[in-house]
Amino acid sequence: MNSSEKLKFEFGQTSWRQSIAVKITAQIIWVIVPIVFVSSIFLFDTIEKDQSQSFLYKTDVLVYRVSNTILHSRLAVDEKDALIAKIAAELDFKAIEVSAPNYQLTNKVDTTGYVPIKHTLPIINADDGFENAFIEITSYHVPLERIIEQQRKDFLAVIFLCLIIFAVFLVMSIRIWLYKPLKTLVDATETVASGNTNVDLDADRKDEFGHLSLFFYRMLDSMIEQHNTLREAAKAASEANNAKSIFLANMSHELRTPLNAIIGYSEMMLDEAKDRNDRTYIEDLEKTISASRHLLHLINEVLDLSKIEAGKMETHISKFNIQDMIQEIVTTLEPLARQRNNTLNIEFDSSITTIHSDSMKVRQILINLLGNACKFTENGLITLKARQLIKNSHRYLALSVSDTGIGIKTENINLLFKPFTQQDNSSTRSYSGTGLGLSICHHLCILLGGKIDVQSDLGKGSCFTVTIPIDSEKPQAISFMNDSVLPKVSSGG
Amino acid sequence: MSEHTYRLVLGALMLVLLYTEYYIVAYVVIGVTLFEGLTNQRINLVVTRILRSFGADVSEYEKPPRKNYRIPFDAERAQRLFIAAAFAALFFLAPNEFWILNWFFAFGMLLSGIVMFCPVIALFRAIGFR
Repeated sequence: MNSSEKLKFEFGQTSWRQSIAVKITAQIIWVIVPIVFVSSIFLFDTIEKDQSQSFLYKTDVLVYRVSNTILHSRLAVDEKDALIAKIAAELDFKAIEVSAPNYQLTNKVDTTGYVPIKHTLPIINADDGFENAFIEITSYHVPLERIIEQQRKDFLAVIFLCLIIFAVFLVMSIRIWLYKPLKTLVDATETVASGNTNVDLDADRKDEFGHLSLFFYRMLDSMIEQHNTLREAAKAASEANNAKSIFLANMSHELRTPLNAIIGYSEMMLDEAKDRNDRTYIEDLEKTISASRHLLHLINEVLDLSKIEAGKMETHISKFNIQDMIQEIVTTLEPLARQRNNTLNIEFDSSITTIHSDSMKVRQILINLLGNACKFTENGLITLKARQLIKNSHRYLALSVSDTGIGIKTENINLLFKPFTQQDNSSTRSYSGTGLGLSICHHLCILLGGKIDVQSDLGKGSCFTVTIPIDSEKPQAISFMNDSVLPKVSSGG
Repeated sequence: MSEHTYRLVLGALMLVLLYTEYYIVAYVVIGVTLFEGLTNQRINLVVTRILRSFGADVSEYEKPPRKNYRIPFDAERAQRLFIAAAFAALFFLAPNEFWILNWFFAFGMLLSGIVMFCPVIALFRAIGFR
């Protein structure tokens, strides 16, 4: 830590102000301060009363001692003057004037701003023949209110000074004992969170922070160990997955070759049987061909997924007419739609004619989505909408396949694009399929620089929207993926 | 210049004025805080702007505006108005009866600068000021 950083840490402009330590300090101080003030008000009242009594007492003492000096002292006049002035000074009186039958003392001091206090004493024991005579004493003193005010101020100044010292002491203590160790722990946690496990904590402390540091180190060790174990396991799983994908790709290829031969020979035998009009063989051979094609379709799906997982799926970008392709797909799938008494509609944005993309993969995606819509809808409406979207001056093609079929449960929507997953086991039994179709679609969309979204209401239908760049040669797909114009996955209702 | 520093300086100044009974300057302080509250040209903000114009790094004094509020009026402004009103009322209306409250407010400002927490501002924010 360099000096400027240290300075910033010491005075902690940001972190210290926001810390719990400041809040604790403020709480303590702001509880104490009003209590001290209220106590002070009562204390001032007592002090004022004491001050008044003390003032009266001092005046009485002055009068007594001065009159005693005049009447009973055998001192010379000058000496009496000096003694009376001394008495007045001792009792905090600024000046004194005395008028008696045999004695006069006049004031020579400036008494502006001082209060004169007059006392007239009758002479009772008239040994010196002063019957009916009086002693008049005028003393000058600072006004009582001013004394009280000054005392209040001095008293408050002392209280404030004590409170400030206390506050500074409290702030420093909490800063040293609470804030700094806590900040060290927070910094260590932040360091670990950022991926760096090299932290320095004082685990030798005997307080809670020491224990916390110790357990932090133990937790860190355990975390590092678990991390290493997980990394090894992930590596092993990844290797096994790759091996599986390679095996599946090879095996699918090996399976397809004899299966194609079976289909080919069966078709030849079917032609022969048709020529001979042998109805028994025709039916059997048609079933064989149908089952073989279904098996080939399944193997193709497994092969596609294996290729995707192994990272071997490649795209072949070319310019093609999307309207023609859609028309062709719809023509192909119309018999399937009619099987369940569904109506197939197309809504096409006429501004889109040709696009740059992988035609085979776009075809595969559309066949899959429309095939699913036909499979899960009965006596309903299936609509394919194609429209153009413009985002950040880039053009995208949005293909939406909506149906009025069984829909998807909200909790199952997130499982849709996982391989080998269907809504539930009953779906697999009722509607057949491997559960690979949507997963493959999802991967193909990503491969084409696009995305797939789904909206669904259980019992009302679903809508799958595929969005792909119209011109795939331009690499703007990623930014579009991050800044979606459509909801990714949602359920209606 | 941070809000805390401003409070610390103003509190200390008021205490010195109360102790020395130099009330004319106290009236000036009342006027300044009233001006700050009415115009929102708060001294700490003005000082920060001046420092920034000289190229100083003042980022730590510039807080982002609060988002959760019901009344679109800065709590710091409300605090200035409160201080000006309280001081003025105590000085002009009841200087002898409630003399200790002047000291209490002045000391409160000083202390809020030290501990970096002002209960008046906290109260205004709790009410809903920005």
